[in-house]
Amino acid sequence: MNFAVKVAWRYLTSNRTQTALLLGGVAIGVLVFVFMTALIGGLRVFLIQQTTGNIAHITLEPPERVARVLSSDERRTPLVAFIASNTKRQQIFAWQTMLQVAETTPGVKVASPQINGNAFLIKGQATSPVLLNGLRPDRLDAISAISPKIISGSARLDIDGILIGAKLATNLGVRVGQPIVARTDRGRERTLSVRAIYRTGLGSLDERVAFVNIQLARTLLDLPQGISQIELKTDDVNAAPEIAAALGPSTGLKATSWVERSAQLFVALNSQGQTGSLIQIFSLITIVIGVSSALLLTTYRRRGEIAIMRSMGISRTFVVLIFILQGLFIGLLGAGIGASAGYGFCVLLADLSRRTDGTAFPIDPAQGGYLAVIVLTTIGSVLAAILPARAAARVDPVEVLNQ
Amino acid sequence: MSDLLYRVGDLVKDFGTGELRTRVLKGMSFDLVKGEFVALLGPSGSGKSTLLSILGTLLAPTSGTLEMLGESLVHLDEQRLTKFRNRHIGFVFQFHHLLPDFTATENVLFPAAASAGIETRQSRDRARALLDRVGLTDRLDFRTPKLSGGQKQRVAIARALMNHPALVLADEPTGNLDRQTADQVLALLRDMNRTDKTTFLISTHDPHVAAFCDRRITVVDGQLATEGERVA
Repeated sequence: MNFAVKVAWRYLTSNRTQTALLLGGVAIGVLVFVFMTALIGGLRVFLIQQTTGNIAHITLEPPERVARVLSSDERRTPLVAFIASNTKRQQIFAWQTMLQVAETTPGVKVASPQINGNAFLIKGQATSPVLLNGLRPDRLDAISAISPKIISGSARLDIDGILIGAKLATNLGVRVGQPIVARTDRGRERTLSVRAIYRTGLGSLDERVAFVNIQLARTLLDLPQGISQIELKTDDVNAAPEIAAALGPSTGLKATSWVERSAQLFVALNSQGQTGSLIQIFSLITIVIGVSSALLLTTYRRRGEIAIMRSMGISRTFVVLIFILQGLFIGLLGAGIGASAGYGFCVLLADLSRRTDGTAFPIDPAQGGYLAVIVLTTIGSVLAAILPARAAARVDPVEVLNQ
Repeated sequence: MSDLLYRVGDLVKDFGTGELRTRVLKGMSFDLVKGEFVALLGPSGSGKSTLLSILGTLLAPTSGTLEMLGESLVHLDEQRLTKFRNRHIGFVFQFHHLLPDFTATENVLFPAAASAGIETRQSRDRARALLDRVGLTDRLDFRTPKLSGGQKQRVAIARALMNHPALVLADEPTGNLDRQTADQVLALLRDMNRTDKTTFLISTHDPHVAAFCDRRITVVDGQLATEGERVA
């Protein structure tokens, strides 16, 4: 074994109380780092899951109208204009082909063709504006899992049925099985039967959206051929922007990922991440200061021994190495203990907070940043040892030995 | 002169600067030859400890020449002086100055192992042989705080001899010991001197210690008062 390693280890183990306290301090700093990293990571996953759980990861819509350049022979100046059309509605015509393209694209889990439009739901004198969402019955839960959220009735999307949210049902005063009139902005009207009432917890869904069969929506919204949009879920939410970028050109449709629609969420997540980074940096600074001050005290306490070593002709490099190695051991051990304790603490917290519905405190023990914290703490401890090591190397043997 | 070990020429040492400057050594010249057993005598404050520190390369002189084993020490940089000290000079202090967290064997082999960077079997064997020689065979693996004052001083002597030094500088090596133990330590030093031909320069106030030595150098007020007769 390298003799400097032996001496450094002996110094650490000779004063076990001080070393234990020092390791404890480093471990607590590392634990805080791991906890914050796991919490921020878990919170990010939780928020993204919450956000993307009930919305489409990618939406395919008819392409936006582009400006056309009109020639003008007289003025030799090009004219640019949007061609307004009252004869054509924005819709996806060859939607079966587009649906097939979308469904066969790698990374796409499910695709749901939809016909959407505005309507009023009327029950007696009560009226509520809604977005009428026409879905294929087999895709009812494809984008937002409605079936598990039904609190009354059954998830049947037949040709004269409608599913409404709990808040909407309260506003209109209707129950399952009762008739309700749907009047669309295309001027069509039909009496439907409430098949189910759901509660998602999302105000917009529970109050402003109603689900009907896509064939019924086609009639009510007067869209005999095309559809309004195709919504997609991807296997990996993070891959949605990339898949959307590929789907746009391949379908000729406007493909928008959830990331583009959730800019505010990312601002919030980034702010949260920055706050977490500050706490992590302060944890590391605390560790460095702790290790440095403890080793400085050790240097002072061992001045006599350092002077003896110097009188024996032991080089300053050897003395520096002893203290750097102590910093290395403290960093490695403290980080190891702290990372293990941090993992255990995060797992315990996640388990203890798990409720019967499967939800838990949004902490992800797998995202503790263990390798990073071990590497950073070890480097930090070694750097923290440099100052004490230099102080040790500067000890004047004559001055100390004469005392 | 082939037997010349150390040549000190017109050695001056000042402490402080400007008006606060104090001249502790005032132009001192003498030689040490190989295998000598020399006492360095003088009252407190006469400059003995400063002289030992300079001879041991722990302290740089203000002026003068220092030549050991044919090498001029005043021109060596700190790194080379450290190496030279490790290889050729041993120290024995009044308060033994052992490393308390290490065993007797580890203390003795420390100068060799720290210098080589590794603890070899040879260095361990040499340390054990030296401890055996100073009568501490049964204390090899004792941590030094568990040893008596005399035993500690014997460990310190063994440590000073670990790297086969040409010169051992001893500063009041018996000053902290009772008479009987002091005599045992002196006898031990003398034995090492005779067996290994190691040169010893022993700083002391004690005439009894001085009587053990071949030659007595006396320092008074930073100057050499007597250099003593060298034993043929």
